[in-house]
Amino acid sequence: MAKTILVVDDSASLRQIVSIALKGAGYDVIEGCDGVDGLSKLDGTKVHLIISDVNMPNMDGLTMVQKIKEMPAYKFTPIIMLTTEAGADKKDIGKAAGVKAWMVKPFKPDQMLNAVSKLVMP
Amino acid sequence: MTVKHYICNHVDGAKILILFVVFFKKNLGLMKKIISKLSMSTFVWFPIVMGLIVSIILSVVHGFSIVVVALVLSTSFITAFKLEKDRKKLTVVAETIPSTSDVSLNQQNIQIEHFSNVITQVLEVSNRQIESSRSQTEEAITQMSLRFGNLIQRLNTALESAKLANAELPDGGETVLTNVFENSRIQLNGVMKSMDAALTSRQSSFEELQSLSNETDSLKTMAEGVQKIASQTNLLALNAAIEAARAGEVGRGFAVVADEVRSLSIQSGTTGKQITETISNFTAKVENTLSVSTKGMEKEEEIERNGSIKIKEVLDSLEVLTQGMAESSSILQEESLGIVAEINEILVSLQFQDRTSQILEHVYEALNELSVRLNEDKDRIESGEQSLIDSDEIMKKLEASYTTDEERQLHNGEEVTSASEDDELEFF
Repeated sequence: MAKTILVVDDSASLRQIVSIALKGAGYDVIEGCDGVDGLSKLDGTKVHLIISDVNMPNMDGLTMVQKIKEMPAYKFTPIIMLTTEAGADKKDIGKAAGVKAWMVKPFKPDQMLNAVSKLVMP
Repeated sequence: MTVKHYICNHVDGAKILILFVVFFKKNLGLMKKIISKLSMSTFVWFPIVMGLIVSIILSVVHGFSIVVVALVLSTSFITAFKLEKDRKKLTVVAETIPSTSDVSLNQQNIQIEHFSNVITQVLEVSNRQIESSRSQTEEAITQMSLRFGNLIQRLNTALESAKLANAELPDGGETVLTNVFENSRIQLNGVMKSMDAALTSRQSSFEELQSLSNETDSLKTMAEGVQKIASQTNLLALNAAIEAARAGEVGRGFAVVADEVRSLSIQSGTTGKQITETISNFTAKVENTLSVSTKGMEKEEEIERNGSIKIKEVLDSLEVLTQGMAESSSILQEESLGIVAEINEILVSLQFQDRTSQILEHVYEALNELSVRLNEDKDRIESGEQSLIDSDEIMKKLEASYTTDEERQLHNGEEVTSASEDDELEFF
């Protein structure tokens, strides 16, 4: 059965590009347009990996990650941050929150798929 | 020397002085009016008073003539009036100063309001344009990425089928396409072989038939032999009958036997004739069949020859075709992979829209903030308060909103450096 990945980004085009890469590699994709929307998708559905942006309206990605880590069903779900932010301070917050990898946009599809295959839950 | 003596001695100066004092005292009201008209300040009286004192001293103490005293007095008055004139001028200037400063202040306020209005309007319009272009670009890029996604999917489908055709089989270096060709060749060769076998078996039947035809010749000879024996038997029976007739009564019985033998020889001759006829008919039929078979055989041989030539031609062209197909499918496969890689590169480039969109969003927010601040400040200045716009604060707020190193570098006027490969992905 195909593995499911939640992609959270406020940019529709970027969600699309990530989805294309993931679907091409045989993953199922669920999309969320900000932190609040992303959390609402974690409604019991089995999610094997989460890819999220940092800067988003309503709720930013790092706050969302902190909230996910409080959810028993999803606290072990690996999370990759995909963002334009390359600053060490934000990375440190992500690291402390339990993020597994930090990817700076623009990303290369192959590189992303490589990271996904390394981290995706069995 | 008494005062009176002095006065007497210097009567001219004193006289004038007394006259002046008396005149001044008498016309005190008038003088006051003149003074008020002239609106001379007390400061201006100083040279006049000093002139008077000097005149008194000169005329009374030193006994200078009236001319000198008048000269001193007139000089003091002229100085006083000059001073007064300057004072008035200065007063006029001083009075105009506050009024002109009020006017310029008002004008400045009007200008500030005007500029503020212009800037606010331009900001609002620019913001709408920025937002519109940002959302348009986003929509277009979303559509483009969707199309590219579809392209990749279709290419992958094409690739799969090309792979299927070009896939190597597990038991050797053959691909599916070459295998199809090999199978066709083997099957067609099988057909050719069975055709060959059929022809061979027909050939052997033909040979059998031919040998049968040869056998009929010996049958014919045998039938002729029978006929010959019958004819000789007939001759013998005839001789026996003659010999029996000559023997007379004794040979009567023998004559009957000779007669029977003769009739038998006639029957044998007839049978021999019939056998010969039958064999002739049979031979004719066999020969007919043989000639038909020969023709058929020749035809079949020709058909087989043509067939094998045709099959070879078909196989040759099939081989060329399958080889071509295998080659083109591998080219297609290669090209498709190349195109997929190109599209992946395009997908990377398309992500720059996300970066520029963020930058535009920050510019939009900054301009919006500036517009709001300008409006607030305008109201504040209009109600006589001081401007509170703090460029440092705005710049700091702007800097805090940045999400890329590129923006921060641009903000500080530094050279923009692109992120290195190592910075792109980091595992924690």
